[in-house]
Amino acid sequence: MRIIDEQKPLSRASRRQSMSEIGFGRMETYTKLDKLGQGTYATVFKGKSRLTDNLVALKEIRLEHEEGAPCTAIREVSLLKELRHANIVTLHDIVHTERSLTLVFEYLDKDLKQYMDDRGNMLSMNNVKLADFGLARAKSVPTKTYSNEVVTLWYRPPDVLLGSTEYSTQIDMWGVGCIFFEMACGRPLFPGSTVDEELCLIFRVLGCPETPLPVASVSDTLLSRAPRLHQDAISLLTCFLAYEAKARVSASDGMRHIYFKSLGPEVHLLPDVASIFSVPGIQLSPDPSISKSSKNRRLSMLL
Amino acid sequence: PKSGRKLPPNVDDFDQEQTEDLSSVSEYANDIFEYLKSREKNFRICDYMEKQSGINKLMRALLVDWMVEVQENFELNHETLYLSVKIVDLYLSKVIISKDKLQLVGCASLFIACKYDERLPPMIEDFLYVCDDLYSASELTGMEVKILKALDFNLGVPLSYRFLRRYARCSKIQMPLLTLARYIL
Repeated sequence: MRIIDEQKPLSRASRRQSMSEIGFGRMETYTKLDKLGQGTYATVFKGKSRLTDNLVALKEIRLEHEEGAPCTAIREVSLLKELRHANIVTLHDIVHTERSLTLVFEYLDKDLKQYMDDRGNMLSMNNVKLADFGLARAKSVPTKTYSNEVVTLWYRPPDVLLGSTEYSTQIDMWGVGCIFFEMACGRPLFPGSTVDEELCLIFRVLGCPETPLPVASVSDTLLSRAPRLHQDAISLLTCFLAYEAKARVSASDGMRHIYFKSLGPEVHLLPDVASIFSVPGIQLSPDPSISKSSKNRRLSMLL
Repeated sequence: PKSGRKLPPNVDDFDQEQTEDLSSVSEYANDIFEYLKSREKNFRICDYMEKQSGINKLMRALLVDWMVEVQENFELNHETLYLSVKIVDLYLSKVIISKDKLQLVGCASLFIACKYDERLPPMIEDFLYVCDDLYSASELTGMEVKILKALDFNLGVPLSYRFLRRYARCSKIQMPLLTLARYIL
């Protein structure tokens, strides 16, 4: 029997070939600069593309593990290859080497916290982008049951904290509410360090799941913690923070909430890849309700 | 309907009836299937057997039978099986392999599909065991990387099985008919 050890590709897409001639898919194209961080399966470096001179983030994933390529890498790469959106980090290139895989991302110089803190010094029109899809997965219909050890504790909804594995898209809307509050106040809404503590912090604002507090009293509590939020904002926040997943507002309904009305109807027609700042009249501006002399001055990200 | 889509006259909006059931993702189900449909063309499989010299259709059929057995053994989702067979076909349409590596390709494809979709993927040792220790761990992980590279990590393949399930649910067909359709698929 003939054994072919070398595995030769039958045909190579001409497109990829020409991309490779330009320099895509090759490590020599990127210069590694500082190390930015290290996770369990990947190391992230700041880098520079020799093609464009642009800064990039290089996420180096080791493929050699006892169990082979990590699940997280398989899911993250396959998902990112399908995602093209103005508010999702762009995956520019993938470089395969013998023992590792390097993902080349656009360089984002700040996380959300730093971005919010720096708003006072510059008025740029940078978009906020989602990154790190290591714990994401493709969604199917019908949804299967998943692990309940998911989502950063501070942003994990009460049904999942109490053990539910039958969650769906509503799981993220709770987190959206928590981060909405955090962006307005500069501090987290439910910063628990254990599951029990996390639940206690939630119960304190919303009451127990069996005997939830009335919306008016929840609104008062939230308003006292976030005096910067106006009535419409508080109303949107309570839509996100519903105990029952079913009752939580969906992303598309949330966008139609009166809170966003001032942005005008055009934001609903934006193509996926267009920035919100491409809509005429939308820009970041300082929150007029905050005095400039105030010590904890923050500029509005709430548009 | 929320997404503003239009249904033909006399057709009930199936998703509208399912809004109480969170697992049916009624709000996004239609968008998800529109999206999957739009991606189908990227994953067409050519008649690669003409180019393969060491393997033939019968060997592929035997391999798929074995993969079904592994799926039952490990109690994997049906989607995992369909994805792994698709991975095998996509790989074989790009790379020429020898007869003695065919099972390794099938096994590595299952290995990848499990990692992509299963909540608790079986361990590498389980995969080596179901191959009767024909291959070593490093051979399996080596093939895994070769496949991932050849497919360029494009694993979000629209699966026939998902469409069947969708059609069956929307037209409310009974289990025996669905089982027959699954068998044909």
